[in-house]
Amino acid sequence: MSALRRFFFYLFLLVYLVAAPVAILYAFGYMWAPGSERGLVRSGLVALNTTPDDAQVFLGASRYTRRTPTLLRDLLPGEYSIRLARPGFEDLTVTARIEPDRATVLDRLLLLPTARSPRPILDETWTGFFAHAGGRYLLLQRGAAHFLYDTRKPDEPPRDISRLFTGIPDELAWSARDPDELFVRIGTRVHRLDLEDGAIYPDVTPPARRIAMAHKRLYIADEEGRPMRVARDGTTEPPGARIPPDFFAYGARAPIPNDAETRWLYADGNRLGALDREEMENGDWTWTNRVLYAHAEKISGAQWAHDDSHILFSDGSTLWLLALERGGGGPPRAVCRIGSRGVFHLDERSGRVWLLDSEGRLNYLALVPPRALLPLARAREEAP
Amino acid sequence: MSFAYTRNGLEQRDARLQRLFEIMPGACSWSILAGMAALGLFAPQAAAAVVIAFNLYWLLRLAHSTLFLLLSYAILRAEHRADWPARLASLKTGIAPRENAWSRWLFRGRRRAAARGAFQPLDPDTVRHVVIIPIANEGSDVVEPSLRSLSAQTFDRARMIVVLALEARAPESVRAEIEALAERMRADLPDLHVVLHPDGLPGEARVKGANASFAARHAAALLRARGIPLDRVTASCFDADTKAPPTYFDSLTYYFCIEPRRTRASFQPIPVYHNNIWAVPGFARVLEVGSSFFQLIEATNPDTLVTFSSHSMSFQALDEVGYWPMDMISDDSAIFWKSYLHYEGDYRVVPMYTTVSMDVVAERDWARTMRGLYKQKRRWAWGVENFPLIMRGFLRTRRIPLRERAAHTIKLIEALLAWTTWGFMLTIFNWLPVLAAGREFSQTVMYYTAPRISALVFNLAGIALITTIVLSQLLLPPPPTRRPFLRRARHAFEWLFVPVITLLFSSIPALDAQTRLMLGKHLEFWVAGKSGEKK
Repeated sequence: MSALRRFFFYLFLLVYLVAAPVAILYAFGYMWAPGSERGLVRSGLVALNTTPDDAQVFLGASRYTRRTPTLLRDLLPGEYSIRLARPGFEDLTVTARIEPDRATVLDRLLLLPTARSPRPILDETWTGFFAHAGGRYLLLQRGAAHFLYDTRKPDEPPRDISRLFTGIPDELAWSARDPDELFVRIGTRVHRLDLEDGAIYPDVTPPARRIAMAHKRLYIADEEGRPMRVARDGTTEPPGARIPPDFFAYGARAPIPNDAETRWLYADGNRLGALDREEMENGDWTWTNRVLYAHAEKISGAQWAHDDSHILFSDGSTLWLLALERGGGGPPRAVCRIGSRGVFHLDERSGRVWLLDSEGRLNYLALVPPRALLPLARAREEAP
Repeated sequence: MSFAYTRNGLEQRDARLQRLFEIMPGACSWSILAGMAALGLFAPQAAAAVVIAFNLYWLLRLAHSTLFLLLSYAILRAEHRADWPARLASLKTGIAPRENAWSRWLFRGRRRAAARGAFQPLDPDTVRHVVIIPIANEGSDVVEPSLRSLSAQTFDRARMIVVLALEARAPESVRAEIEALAERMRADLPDLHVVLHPDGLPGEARVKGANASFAARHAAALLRARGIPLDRVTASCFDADTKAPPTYFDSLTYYFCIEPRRTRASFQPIPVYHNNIWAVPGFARVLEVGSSFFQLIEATNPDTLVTFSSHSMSFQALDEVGYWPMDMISDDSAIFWKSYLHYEGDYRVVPMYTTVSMDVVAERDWARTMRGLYKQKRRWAWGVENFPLIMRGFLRTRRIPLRERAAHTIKLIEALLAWTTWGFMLTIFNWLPVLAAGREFSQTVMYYTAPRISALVFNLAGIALITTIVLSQLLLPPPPTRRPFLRRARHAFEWLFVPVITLLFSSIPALDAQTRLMLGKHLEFWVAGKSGEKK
């Protein structure tokens, strides 16, 4: 028995001494390259995930048998063209730059449906609308008249709530927490309206030139044009680590931060840009301006989309989708036609874009699949 | 070698060494755990690489263990059917008993080994057995089944001396119960004695070893008075709930007779916890079946096998080494190390492929059972108290070959560290680098590859788990229920929780014990709650 134990001990020891270094080197990206680059080289990989998933993957001329989400491993450093195809959706081609030991993460690739004509939902025409971040309610505007529309009850006509408004508001922001709570800016005064009981709570923020709701947070631009975040009790957080101090100097009309407040989007006439927070080695930070797209005619609205990986913006009579890093980058893709006012809203939960067409009618377009409560998709992978 | 196997009354140099080696296991365990946590948080690539190295090591250890578990179980099954009285007779006649092919092969192997050593087996008729059952608080409901198992032995009971080592500090009711039980059992066990161990004798702690030693001295005096040579006697120290199978002392006699250096040996049966195994919560069942499997695997490695729980040994050796340590809780393993150092390496443990059955800790409800199990496992892990004594002994002796000392030291350190760290490595540190990943790490190849390698390792480990589940079904007695299949299916399902069970009832109690030793906070003896014969 002792001899048998010794035999297996040394056998397993040998296996370990070979397998452990190989596994660790592999995990660090090392691989044995065949052909002209023969030798031990450090590879990289691409993590691909599409919305919707189950798209076929083409790497150059090679087709992968598995579908997204997937990992493309053992790629030598260089640039690769990856095409993703799914029936009923437009092909998407992205360029992935592979570096040694680096994972290029393209996990927010958005496939646009081939059929994407907006569908009108109400016969009336409107001059504008505001959407509740919860996705259910729309506040439709026609001149000074305001109507509340429940999208889950499409057959019920919009309810006139104009009596709640003492004047024509300059701006509206709808609380994401409570659909009965609406912030209204008239001049520099910001009031809170309770849509349920009709109460008006005046001057809930300091005097403001702009108000906006983003990711369940209320932001204002104060009288000096500084962006601020307003807490529920009315206290404000001045510019600093999370809020760029000179945001409005870039021509921004409304504060549009991403969820992490590390990137603030602005639209200035014919260009889209962002202020990125960058950590410095000493622990401080700096805000860096990046122009994301500079060839627009006249941008009238912009919104973060698909977990802040894309920007949806209206330019002239077209709604565009611009993919950022994790979305695959590249030039903006035309989504659909839109009215000249450029009024739209993407509800991430339902995946619908609400928009006003050229006649002012309310339309919707199912742009992305409704968001699942639990992320069930898991990374699958294969070799080409 | 003259070596005081104690941590008390040491000279300054020895006391310093003792303290150093007391600190070492806990310090090493905490260093590994803290190091892994720090790596996971601040150098996740390095942590992931360490995790891969560990996972592969763990997988190969698991494969190695599973292989020898299968082998050991096969031997146990074959030996279970052995005709021990016939084997004993064969020692005198030299004719192999009519048994299955496997047992006959084992038998011939042993005979050949004996012949190579020009060794004649001892005449089994001259062998006697002393059984010591230490009792602290256990009542007759726990002790009686144990005595009944002794009275049912096929071995000549007239050659068995049974000593109930009763603590004088035990409650009056317990003492009265045990006395009454002894009175009843004397009809079946004629040489049954109750020895009352006085409380607070000088040089003793309140530990089982002190009680067992007091009783063993009483038995030694009895043997000497009767003129029985101690080299023909075995001493079995059984927990109060130990039930020996009817042929246990036949098989012990056999192993004792064919062992060339029988007075330099302990005899280790496979402990199983079948007395109430189907009456306890699933986590306790998995844990104790796991303990039995561990001993089965250890039985295949006699070179570094250490005594555990209920076992037997040469009475002469017990007498010569000065009986069990009287200030240590882990008396079962301590007596081996004490003997090993006393005889300077000329001492070994002979694995016996027969079982002794004990109770699983069982309290009134789940919470109490969990607490009881935790305390029991911590007491087992308190076996770490032997480490400083062994290391001091190894430094003192030169007669034990360096290679042998190194083998024991490496195995001890590896076992102590594995006990404390594996549970954490498998359940927490495997995922920590990925869970705590910052942006930098999440953009590396390692971030995506390490979980893939871990998944492959765990899938392969599933083969070992399936083997374990099958063996546990084979090892366990039939469930006392009308739907045994459902009960067994549930037990198979219980094994899926083994990583969490390992963490809660193995790693954490072991870390607790090592930390206490490191900080000098010694454990008081704690008597596990035993349920008696639950069906």
